Amino acid sequence: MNLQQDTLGNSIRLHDDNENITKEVININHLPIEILVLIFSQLDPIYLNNLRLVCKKWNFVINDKETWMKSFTKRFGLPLYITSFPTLTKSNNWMNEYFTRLKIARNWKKSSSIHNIYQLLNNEYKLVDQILTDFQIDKICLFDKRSCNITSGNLINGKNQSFIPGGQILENDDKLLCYGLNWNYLIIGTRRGKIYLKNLITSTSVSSRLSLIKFEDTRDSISSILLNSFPDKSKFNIDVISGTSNGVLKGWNLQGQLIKEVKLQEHVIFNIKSDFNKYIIVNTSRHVYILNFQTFEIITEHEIGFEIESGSSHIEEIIKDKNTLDVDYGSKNIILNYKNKIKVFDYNKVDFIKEKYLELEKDVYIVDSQFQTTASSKLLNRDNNIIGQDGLFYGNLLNDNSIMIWNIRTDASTIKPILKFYPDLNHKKLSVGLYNAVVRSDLMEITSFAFNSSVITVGGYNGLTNLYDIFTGKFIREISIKFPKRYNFLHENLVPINMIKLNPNNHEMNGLIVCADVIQYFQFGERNVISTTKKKKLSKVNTGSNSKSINKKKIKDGIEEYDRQLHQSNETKKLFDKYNGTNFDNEEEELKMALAMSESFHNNNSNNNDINDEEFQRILELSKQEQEQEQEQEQEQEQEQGSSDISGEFRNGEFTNGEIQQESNDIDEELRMALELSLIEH
Amino acid sequence: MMSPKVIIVSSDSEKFPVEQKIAEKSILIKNMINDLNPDGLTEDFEIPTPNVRANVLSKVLEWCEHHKNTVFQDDEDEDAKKSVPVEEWDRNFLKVDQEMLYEIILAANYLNIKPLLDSGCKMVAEMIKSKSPEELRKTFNIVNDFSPEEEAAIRKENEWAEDR
Repeated sequence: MNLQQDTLGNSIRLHDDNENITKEVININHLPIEILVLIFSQLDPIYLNNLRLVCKKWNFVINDKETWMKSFTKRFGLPLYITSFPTLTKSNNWMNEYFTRLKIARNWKKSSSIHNIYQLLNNEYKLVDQILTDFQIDKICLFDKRSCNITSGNLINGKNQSFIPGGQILENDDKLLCYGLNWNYLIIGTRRGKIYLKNLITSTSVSSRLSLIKFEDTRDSISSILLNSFPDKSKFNIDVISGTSNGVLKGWNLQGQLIKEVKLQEHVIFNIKSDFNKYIIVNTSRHVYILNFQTFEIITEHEIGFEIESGSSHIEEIIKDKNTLDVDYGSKNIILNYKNKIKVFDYNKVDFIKEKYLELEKDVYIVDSQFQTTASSKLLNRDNNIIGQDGLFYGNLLNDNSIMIWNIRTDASTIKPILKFYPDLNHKKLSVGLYNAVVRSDLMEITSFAFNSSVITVGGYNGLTNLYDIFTGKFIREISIKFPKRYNFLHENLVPINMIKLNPNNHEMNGLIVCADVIQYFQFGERNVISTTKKKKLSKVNTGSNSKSINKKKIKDGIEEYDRQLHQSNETKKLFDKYNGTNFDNEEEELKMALAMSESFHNNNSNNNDINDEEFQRILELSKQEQEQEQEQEQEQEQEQGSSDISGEFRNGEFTNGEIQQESNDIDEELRMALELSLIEH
Repeated sequence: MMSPKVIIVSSDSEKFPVEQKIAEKSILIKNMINDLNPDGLTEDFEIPTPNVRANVLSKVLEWCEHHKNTVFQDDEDEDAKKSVPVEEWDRNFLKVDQEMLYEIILAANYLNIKPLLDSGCKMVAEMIKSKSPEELRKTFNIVNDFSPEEEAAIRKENEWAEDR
């Protein structure tokens, strides 16, 4: 009887039982390796490191590189020659990595999902140039460079919106050439050589000009500017690096003081990158410069090997045609993309720069390039000892509607994509009119992409976004859901997706699709908050009856079923809700855009500093916002009523009615405040 | 006449006559019956299981008997099953000494009885949970075959992973 107790794993009796156990003939290590794997796979991967210390066999089972590489290759379709890839677990424990990947892949593929669609009003043309996201503190920020307006709000549901109007920052005939944005500051470089720094924390709609600093005049156009994402609080260190059209590089602190300065050659500085610690990387039309961040001394001046040229002599045009530059500080690699050329400069030995070069076929050129979405610390450091040698993916979107993914951290002497594929976005299914418009205008089907260590999201027009596997390019699912009717401009016009953002924490399965100023937040798998409570409950179930877990499963199935139904009904709606013969006239579309843009510029220039005007706009916008919110409320309530019991339960967990009410109160509050403030101004 | 039985013979030559339905809980046996009797069983059918001792086989058949009418979900998704706890009856059934538990697991693996194999593995996993390496060696009677240097090396490797 004593022994039977033992199998429960009651550690209190451990010592009493020990003698009995020693009499046993068969030991756990007589089990074949595949069964040990089965057993260990039942455990939370967190335990596995601990288990490696028990004995050689266990260590082997958990950490045998070859076994797990094989399983990896088989399960994830990893090409055999790949030994380096980005790890999800940051560990050197293969079993851990394998099961974590499995879990994440499953969650992307099968788990239930949450979608919130909201609008972040920024400017009347719905243009968005940059988006900051922080998934941890649930915050999003939108920036438009024409109006310099900034809108922020909650990332998950778009609540608590606040708006900082750009106002009249530039002088009348000046023009914005480059900008930088972080959560606290906006920096702008202009054609006439002015640099403006706006403090977003002290900016309100009223005092927007008070929080503006103008840096010392230089007269040469500011062709490139870089703002530290994590600026120095004391404001003494260099947090802004600017480059001019005649090759002068300057380092500024946030008080607008010039700290360092260096003159490169008489060329336009196209791009500036820096870790704000050791290096500054700069490129001009023919050279890549590596500078010491602390001293601003040139460490290396290296020829690119081709020229970044522009037919125009206008600085705006020259900048428009420039290359893109990215730096992986962790492996000391500089990536330069230009037209159909990709070049990598390895600066581990600064006096011997190693190059990799890839030239695409004729007529194929690079549209967009980026690193995988990952924690920023990963870009700064590399740990060769962990699984996959801490690889890092880089991706290029090409104009032939293909996406190319490659690993920047390999020893290979060439740039070899691990994946090149042509995602099929199927706009036709969404709407024939839309599809025809894209084809007729000879537009690219893919407008945006984002990827992490396990998946790629690819976006087209009017929200349409698909999810693919990073190793195989296999279609996983469609992420986008149909936009509600109230965003009618998204049903009547051809609107490309601006951006897709994924959570830098690659264990989370959430992100954003930004289409004009409408944002779809998506989330697969359980939210952290939910999952912890579920875990707790589960452990209770372990000792108790089974019925709870059955219930749980029912609920889970119910939610999945609901999601499926929702999706299906969306699909059918999509089919019905066509554009009904609305023709997308290509030229008209373009004209509209051009008009919109010229109007926006016109507005900027003629807006003679009238703050009251601004206020009025702000109030208008807020009231618009409120209307939106009300509509949203109604819709949400409808949705709640319409959905099945289970989903109703689920939804209630998400946004209670009380919360919504609270929200509209908040908006009222905001409106009142804005009114009061405008009164004070008078 | 009674329907023909499947007679399973243990490694120590003990015979266990069981209903076909019960025997077919083992995919190995099921396939064997189907392969060798394409027209269905007409008479008693003997199957030797040279890897399984009588005392273990009787346990396994007890499980099969109990789950005669249980429909196990044919879930290709292994992760989904992972979070499901061991069912109460199985839990009590598997409250045996370690040696027997391992023998049941081995038999379930050999006979290809996945739900039993899963339950067994989960029971062992529960024994492993939240124990230190030293406690684990005691629980499972494992000799530490690492040299101090090797152990230190693994500890160091593990440290890398701690901050994530």
